[in-house]
Amino acid sequence: MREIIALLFDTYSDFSGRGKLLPLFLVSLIILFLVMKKEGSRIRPLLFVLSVWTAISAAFVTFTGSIKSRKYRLGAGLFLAAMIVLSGSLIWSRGFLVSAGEIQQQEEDCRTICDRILSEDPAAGVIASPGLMPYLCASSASITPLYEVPYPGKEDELGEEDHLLYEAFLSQHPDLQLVRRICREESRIFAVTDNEWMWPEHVVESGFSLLDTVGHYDIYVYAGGGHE
Amino acid sequence: MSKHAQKILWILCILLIAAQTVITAFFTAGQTAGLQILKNATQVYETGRIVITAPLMSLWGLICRLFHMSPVFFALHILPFIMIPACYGAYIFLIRSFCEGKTVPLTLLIVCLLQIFGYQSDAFVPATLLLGWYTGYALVLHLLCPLLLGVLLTKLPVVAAKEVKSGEDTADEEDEDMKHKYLNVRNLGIALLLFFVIALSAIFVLNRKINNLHAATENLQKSISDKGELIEFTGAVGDDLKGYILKGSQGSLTVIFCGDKNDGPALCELLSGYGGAVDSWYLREDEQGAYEYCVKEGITVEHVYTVNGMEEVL
Repeated sequence: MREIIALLFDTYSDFSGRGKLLPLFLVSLIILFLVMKKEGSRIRPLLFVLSVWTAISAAFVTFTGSIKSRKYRLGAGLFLAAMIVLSGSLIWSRGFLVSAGEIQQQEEDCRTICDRILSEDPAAGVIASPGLMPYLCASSASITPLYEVPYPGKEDELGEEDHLLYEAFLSQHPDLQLVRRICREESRIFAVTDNEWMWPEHVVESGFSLLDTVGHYDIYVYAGGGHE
Repeated sequence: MSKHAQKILWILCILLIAAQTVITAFFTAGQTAGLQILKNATQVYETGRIVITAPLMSLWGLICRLFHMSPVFFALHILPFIMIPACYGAYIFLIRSFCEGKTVPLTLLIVCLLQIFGYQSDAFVPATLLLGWYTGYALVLHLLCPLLLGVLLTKLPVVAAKEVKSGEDTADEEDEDMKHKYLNVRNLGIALLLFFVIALSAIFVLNRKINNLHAATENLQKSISDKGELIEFTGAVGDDLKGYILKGSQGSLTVIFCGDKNDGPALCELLSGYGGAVDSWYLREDEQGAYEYCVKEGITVEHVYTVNGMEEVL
């Protein structure tokens, strides 16, 4: 029951907004509620199913429409602009956007990696960085990921072992010995690393060996026989 | 709002929507977690079997199979041209249903800006339209819900209007009452309740952020101590830098210089605290007192190097 309530709450949060947008959304609902009440309209219950985007926009337009002074209208506009800007993280890092050419190259590389892995062992588990893993999963339905990449802010929902694997591959030095220790039931494991910025640790000690290189990705395979 | 201003706002909205569509189709944000959902589409594309639990992905998979196109390519480069304008179309329909005609472009402009900043913050992937236009979430939240709400809002005022017409005689009195009862106990109660909800949400968010910060600090500390340590040795008096001690992640110790025989006892005590076994010791030819004292006191040193030529002397 608790899980169902949590799921409902999560779904509603996705719908109505999270973080800094949530207070803005609630204030918008109050404004709309009061304005519609003043007008004697009978459609108030529908307010609570408006999405965050429409509720905020409608509240602003309704609110400024009821203000006669230009000065106050300008003030309300500036306040809303500030809230919209604050709703984002204000971070546009250099690698935030990836161009179509790079994406296409990555798609091709991922398809080649998947084909290479599946030709070796179709049932083996695959591990890669959280940035690459979704591409691999989307490139071939036969790939078995060793952990599920969490959505932003939902990292805490990962299981203990999944969390360890996720954190290990967030690092520039993913610990392959740790991977072997956690996935000890897997007979074969393929680890894919970006050789431009990742240097895996304990490759030989954990029984991994380099299988192939595709573009700037190295494919390591657990060959067995490594000590844990 | 003048017609001229409305026209400018419409043009601005169209340009923003076009820019969002084109940028989304030709660039992809670093946030790729949502792509996992495409696994089902790929399965349908590869096998031709529909996945009942993922109807939208099955649809994308079938389209890809029909046109011999990879689902990733279809989702990332083709779908933005269909989904993003369609979603904004649904928003326009919804906005028209409850806004006056002249305020529609301004409302739409704010929706556009909110979508852009939602994209930037990636707060709720895959529900954010510009981060997950190919997902079922986006379809429901940004296309079906606005359409459904738009239909409800255009139908319901008709009913309300009829009811108002039938009770025309009492309407004026009710309006008067409404105005007088604008600030009553019930409204204040609702406002108070909402205030508490906002305050509780703020406390919850703040608490979560503090917890996250605490966890991050803990991990940082652990990571630093796991990776190794650099200790500055300031001698017996403690006012002058005499040398460095490097503690490796595997527990190895490397000593660089560290003073004369007066500094020996302090250094010996410090090294004993780290296990008393030094892997490498770098010495100056003219400053070996501390080293000799430590060795005499039982500190073991595996390799010793002097700075001129770095040759091993022991």
